[in-house]
Amino acid sequence: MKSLFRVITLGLLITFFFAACAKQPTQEMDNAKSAVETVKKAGAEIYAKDEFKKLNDDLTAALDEVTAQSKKLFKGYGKAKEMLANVKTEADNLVPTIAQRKEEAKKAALAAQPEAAAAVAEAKAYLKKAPKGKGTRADIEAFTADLKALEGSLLEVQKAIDAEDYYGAADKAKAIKEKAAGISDQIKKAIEKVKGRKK
Amino acid sequence: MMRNWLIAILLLLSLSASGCKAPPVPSEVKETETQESNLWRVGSAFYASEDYLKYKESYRQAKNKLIKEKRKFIWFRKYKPVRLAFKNVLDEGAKLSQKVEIEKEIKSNKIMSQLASLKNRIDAVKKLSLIAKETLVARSAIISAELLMSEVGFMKQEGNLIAAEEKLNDISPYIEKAEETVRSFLARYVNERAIRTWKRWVNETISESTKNNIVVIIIDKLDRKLTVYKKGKAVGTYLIGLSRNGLSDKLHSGDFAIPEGKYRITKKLPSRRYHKALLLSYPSQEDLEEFSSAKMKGLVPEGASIGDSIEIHGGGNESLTDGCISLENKDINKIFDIVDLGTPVTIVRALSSPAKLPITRKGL
Repeated sequence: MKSLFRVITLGLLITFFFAACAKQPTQEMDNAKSAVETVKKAGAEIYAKDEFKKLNDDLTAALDEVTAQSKKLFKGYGKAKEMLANVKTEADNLVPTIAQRKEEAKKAALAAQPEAAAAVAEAKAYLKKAPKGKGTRADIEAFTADLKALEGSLLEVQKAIDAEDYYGAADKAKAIKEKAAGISDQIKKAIEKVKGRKK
Repeated sequence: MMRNWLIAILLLLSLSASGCKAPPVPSEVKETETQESNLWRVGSAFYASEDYLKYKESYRQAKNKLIKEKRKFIWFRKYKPVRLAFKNVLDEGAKLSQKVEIEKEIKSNKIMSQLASLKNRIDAVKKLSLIAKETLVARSAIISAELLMSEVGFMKQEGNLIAAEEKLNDISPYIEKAEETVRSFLARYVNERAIRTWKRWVNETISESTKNNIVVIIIDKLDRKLTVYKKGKAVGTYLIGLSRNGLSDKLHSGDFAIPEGKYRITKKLPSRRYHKALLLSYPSQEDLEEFSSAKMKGLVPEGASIGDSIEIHGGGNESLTDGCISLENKDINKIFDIVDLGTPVTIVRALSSPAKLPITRKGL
């Protein structure tokens, strides 16, 4: 009986010793934080907003678990380690996704850029054919100035691409395309109107 | 020995009977997690930042309660207060969600209204840039403003109201630049002394309307308005189109300017190229004298005459004429019916200084 109690007491002491002195998983914590930071630098806030939010929440939850365990008498960081490892894995997995989305956004911006340039060129071509006479002279001057300004704005698209602001570049290109198309339409209508009169 | 073993076995049995498993975490915990994610996704931090912070704090406190409870040995865990705390968070979140939706609606309407206001300013400065013949600096600024407006529109469509609102602030400086450019050009055409003269002409014409019980027409070129007076009272105001040099006083043929002075209707033309037309008594005696004086000073190109056929006609108020005043067809129809041969028409450049023009008032 005595020996049984000795064994139990010794076992409890060993357990208490290991549990109470269990160290915080600092290495895992650093790894997870660093992985999240890498994802952020890769552009997660732009290209993977939702995933990045979840990642941050998971990291917070894992760190909360570490804090909770640190306050316990019998510390067990196993779950926290698992959570931190998951955060790191998810963060690592997110990097190629972000790269892929960024590439897609870049492709879209690069595709929108020549479309905008083509729309401006088309408007300029129409302007050359625009009916000249009473009521159109000033409009032609105004359109010429507008198209010159639009050509200048095309440089802004390139600047945005260079700055890796692909969504901004695509929006700018789209705006230029629409404006140039609007000018083309107005000139086309004027041409049609003149044609109609000649008939 | 045997008795000790029996006690140990009984103890184990009672433990398993009472349940070694921890009680389940309330479902509200997971629901709150989802709710918080959704609230973040819809931009609560931006649209209702204070409420969102309060919500986050409540959520944090509820989570702390949960952690505290989880820290307890499984037999002593009681999730009732935790469930209640998370339920409260869920209620708070539901209210926050409603508030966010309302705030988004308000913001969206505000953006729409600001866009409309900016568009009005752009339209006004655009027209005046044509009148002032300022198509370089002003038009470039206008295009920049218009492109930004389109970008704001795209952002709004995507539900990115915060970015849209931020971008809105970038538009005004371009419009102000265009307005300032146009205003400085217009200021060259208008001075206070001349305004006093033009005001006198207008007052004389309106007095004539009162005194003789007749219809008169006043045209303010800078304001782009034609006003009809009957018995000294304004009975209708119409937007007009001018010529490319519309703000200048006509001096000779081919200058694309519009004469300024006191004229009369000399012919009513019911069917012209630009719908109906009212021919004016240009040139007047003053115009002839001015023309001769300018010719002597060498200000008139060789071979140029004083010009004639100055009309108020239809065809639309957006077109730019060679020196006439254009109106929408429906407007010339109305005026055509109420005027007679001899109806006075007084044309002035402006009745107020360009500094008082709406386009130059910031924030409109």
